[in-house]
Amino acid sequence: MENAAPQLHKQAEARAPCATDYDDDVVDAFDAREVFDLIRDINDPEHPHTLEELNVVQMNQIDVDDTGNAVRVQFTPTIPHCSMATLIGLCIRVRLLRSLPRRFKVDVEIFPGSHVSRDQVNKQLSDKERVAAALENPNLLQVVNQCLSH
Amino acid sequence: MDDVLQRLSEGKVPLTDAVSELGPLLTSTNGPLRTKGTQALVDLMVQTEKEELTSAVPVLLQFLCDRLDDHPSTTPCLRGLLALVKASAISKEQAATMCKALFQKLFVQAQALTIRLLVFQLISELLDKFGAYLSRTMGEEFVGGFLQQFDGEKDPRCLVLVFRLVPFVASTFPISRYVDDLFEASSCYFPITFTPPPNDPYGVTREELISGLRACMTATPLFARACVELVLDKASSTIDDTKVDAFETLAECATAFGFEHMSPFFSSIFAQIRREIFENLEPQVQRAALAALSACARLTSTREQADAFMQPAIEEAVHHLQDIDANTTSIHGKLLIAAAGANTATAAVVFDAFVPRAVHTFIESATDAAKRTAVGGVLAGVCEAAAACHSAHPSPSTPPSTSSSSAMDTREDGVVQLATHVQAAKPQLLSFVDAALSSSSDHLQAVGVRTLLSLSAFGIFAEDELISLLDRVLTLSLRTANSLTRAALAESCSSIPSSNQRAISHVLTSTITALSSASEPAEFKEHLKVVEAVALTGPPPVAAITSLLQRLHTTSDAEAFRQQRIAHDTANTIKIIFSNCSTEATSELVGAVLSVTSEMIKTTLDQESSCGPCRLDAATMSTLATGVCRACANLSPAQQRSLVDECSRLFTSGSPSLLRRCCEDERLTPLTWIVPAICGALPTEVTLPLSHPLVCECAIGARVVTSTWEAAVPVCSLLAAVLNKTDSNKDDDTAARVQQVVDETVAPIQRCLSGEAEACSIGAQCLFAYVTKALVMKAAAQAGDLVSLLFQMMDHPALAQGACSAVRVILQEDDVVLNRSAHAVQRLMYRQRFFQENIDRLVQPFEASPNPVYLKALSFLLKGVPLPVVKTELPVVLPLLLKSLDLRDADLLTGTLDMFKALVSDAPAQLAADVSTLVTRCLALLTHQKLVVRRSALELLAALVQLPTHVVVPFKPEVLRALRTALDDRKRVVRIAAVHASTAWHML
Repeated sequence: MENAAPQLHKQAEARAPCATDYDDDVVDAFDAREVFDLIRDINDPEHPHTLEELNVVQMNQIDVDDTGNAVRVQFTPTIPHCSMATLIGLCIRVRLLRSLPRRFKVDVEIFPGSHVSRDQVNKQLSDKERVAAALENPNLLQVVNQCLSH
Repeated sequence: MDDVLQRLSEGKVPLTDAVSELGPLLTSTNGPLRTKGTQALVDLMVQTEKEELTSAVPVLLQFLCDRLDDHPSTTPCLRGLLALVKASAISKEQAATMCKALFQKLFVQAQALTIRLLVFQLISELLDKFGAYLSRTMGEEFVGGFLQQFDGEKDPRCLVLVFRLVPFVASTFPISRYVDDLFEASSCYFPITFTPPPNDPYGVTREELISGLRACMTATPLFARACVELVLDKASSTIDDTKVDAFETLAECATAFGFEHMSPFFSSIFAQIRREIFENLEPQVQRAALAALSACARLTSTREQADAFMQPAIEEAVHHLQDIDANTTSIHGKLLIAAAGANTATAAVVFDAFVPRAVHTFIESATDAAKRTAVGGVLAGVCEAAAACHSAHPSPSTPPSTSSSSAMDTREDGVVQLATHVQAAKPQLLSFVDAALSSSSDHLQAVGVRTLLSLSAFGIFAEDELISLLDRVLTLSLRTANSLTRAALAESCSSIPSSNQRAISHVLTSTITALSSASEPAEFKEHLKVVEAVALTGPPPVAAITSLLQRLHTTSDAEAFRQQRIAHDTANTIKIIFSNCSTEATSELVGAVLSVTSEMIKTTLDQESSCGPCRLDAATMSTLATGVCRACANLSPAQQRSLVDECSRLFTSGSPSLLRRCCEDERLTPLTWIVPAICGALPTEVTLPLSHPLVCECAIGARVVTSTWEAAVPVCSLLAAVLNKTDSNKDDDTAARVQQVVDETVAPIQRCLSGEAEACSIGAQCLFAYVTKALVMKAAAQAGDLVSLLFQMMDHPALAQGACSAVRVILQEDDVVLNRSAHAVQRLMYRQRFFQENIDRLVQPFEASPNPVYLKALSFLLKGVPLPVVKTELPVVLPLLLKSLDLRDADLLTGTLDMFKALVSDAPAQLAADVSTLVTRCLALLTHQKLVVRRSALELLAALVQLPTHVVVPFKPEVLRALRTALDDRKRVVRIAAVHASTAWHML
């Protein structure tokens, strides 16, 4: 294990309820918090903690443009040479693939300056065919599903 | 031969004759025949009277013992011996003979399971009855024999017995020659990895075996060396479960063996625990390791012992303070925190040797935020742990109890000493608190708050000093947006000693004043948490409750939704304060609630306009009422009576009475909840009579309610509670009174049914529902008629809705007054009975004329009873439930979908047959216009994946396709449910 004792961070409170939550006439737009809620519970492949606890994903590193149909998620590996960065990115991508409507264009990237081979990982993560091919691999799919299960 | 057996089984032959008659069988050369003969003899022995048996015992015993090694007869012989011991027919000398024969003639481990089990049962019985004698006479011989019998045993059932015997043998018998053998023979099972097979008929559990084995291994201090060495060896295993077991056993060793036997191992124990804390990430292992450390620390009683024990930990901690990696500091801190919380002596060492240096490092490293956080966290943890340890021991200021032993004295000395050490470190600690509170980090500020409050537990602050220190904390936590400090304040304020009343009330007043500045509901809730925690620390918080209630009523500037949440949170806080406050305080607090409520009613009545001060909603008031009601139920009769008198005086005053005016005024109906809260929880013996003016007003009040069902509930519940507790068999007068109430309740309903009246007020329908519930609960004579009337109402257009609600009321658990904790009379399983008796009354008419009302009532009926009961009727109900999914009524749909969701896990087999219909209906409901329906449908879809995979997997593509639209729903709550469903189906 590369980072045996990672620093843990406090989890965010549940989203505060709002008066219009149960009002059928009001349309709730997608926002950064909603996307954050989707990915914060993903388990880290190495540690028994979630990505939120390890500060791998943070709300201010998520951009959502509901009308422009775009979502961009940046994540920060716990250490700059983390070999799990690609797997974490893949997990985030798969979770968003399964949970967001198809109209969104989703980008998953490493936060600038937080990883030594950032460009390489980003390229892998944005290559649709490679992602699809990775998910064809039953062993890898099993690992991803484990990270995504609560 | 069969003839003899036949006569024997009829019991006609005396024992002595029987033996001679059985002679040929008992001496036969044919094995099965000997088995039969011995079995017959044993059966006869069991039936024989004890007097007759006693005379024959010597012969029988000799015979059975001799036959033990005759393989075909072993089982019956053991049964016979067991019967003799169980019947207390043998003397102690005979018991010794029996043991010797058992050990000499039988090599147990070569026998079948049944025989082994019998042997251990026999030994267990013998030890129970003759343990002391056997220890005296047989001594080591017994130990050797017993050891040989169980060495190598594999069956869990036998082991459960053996594990019970070993500690007894180890503590009663002279085992010195066999110490190692005995320990080895029992400890070889460590760690236990047994998992009971499914449908295990014997009920042996892993926990039972683990605790049994632990008792064996820690049975005598003679095992100490071997045991600790073994456990430490196992703790270095790579399997987490083994580690947890090893550390838990280690903690038990510490308690069982004591300081003398454990101290030689302290250094190796510490090294092992330290390794786990640094290397293992599994929280469970860490917890177990730290608990083991605490257990060892608890053994030290003098300063020298504690110094020696803590030395490696302290040295390393001080070393780590200089470490560049802040992480190691905080990880190592866990060890110190565990040790400081274990014992006053070890806590004193930590305060002496570690705290000053840590404070120094904290202040020095002003620029290194990570280091500060780490050191601060450790310091706060140490202070909290020591404070908890300090308050767990009796404070020296309290008068010593009469049986004050030397151990108690030592502990008191420890408490005093610890306080002295904390006092010595006070200047440094205060400078740490000061630095933490003035730092810009939220986290450090919270650390400062936690440290300061836990220090107050040692009584090292004068009152004024404490108040000025608290002022700073309050300013920080109540006037800033820092929620961490508020949480810390709420968590730690219980450490303020209850003798510091001024300080406590100061915190309470400041927090309540600050409530008005809390703009966001979340912030408000955090403030309330503080109020709740402080209110439960000190004297009865009458002023706090009063001002909270007034706040509930007056703040009306914010938007309605936010207001409602704030009101609801406040009511919950008051409820929690009520449920935790002492009985003496309750009466005073309830009095305060009543007077504030009456105040509110008066001000609202004075304001003519209908939009008066903020209306408290029914949900808030019923929460509040639940708290008040629970508290009132436990008061003394005199206190209850005076509160009831006060309440009834208030509400029956005026003409028309105040209660009636409240019922007529929509703004005030929620406030009437106070009436059942105070008067509805009286025990059966002292309950109000039905003729009491307040109860009569309730009946009148209920009928005048025309607005909503909820508005009538408070008055109806009081009447129902009184009716429920009134015993109609007491005398004729009471019986007539009960009948009159029932008649008056039924009258408006019947007028409506017969067409005399066009409609019936909603209040009257609610009253009918509650009166029926009160009578059905105690299975009163009138209940049957009322229930029949209820089902007649289903066909009447104006009453059908009320009838459905009545079914709901009858089966739902009433939180406020109609429940056991409020002394209501409740027949066992009345819901199940109601369900069984009336399910046909809904199913049959529906089959005749498909009126959706029946489906709605059915959904309430099903929701009210436990699932196992529903399962018995499932074949009848399932088609109806599926039919309900075709309707568009949102309430009915959500109820039915929730019911299906519950059934998925409880009755998967029945649902599996209809899964195709269920999936299709659910997918159709995803476009329903009500979001609650869409959400419930998605929740059911997510639950369906629990059904056997081969049943659901064919629907996967279809469901995932439909979920894509749901993922883009316009409501967020629906989207969240869709995400869950989508994840679940993707994982299939």
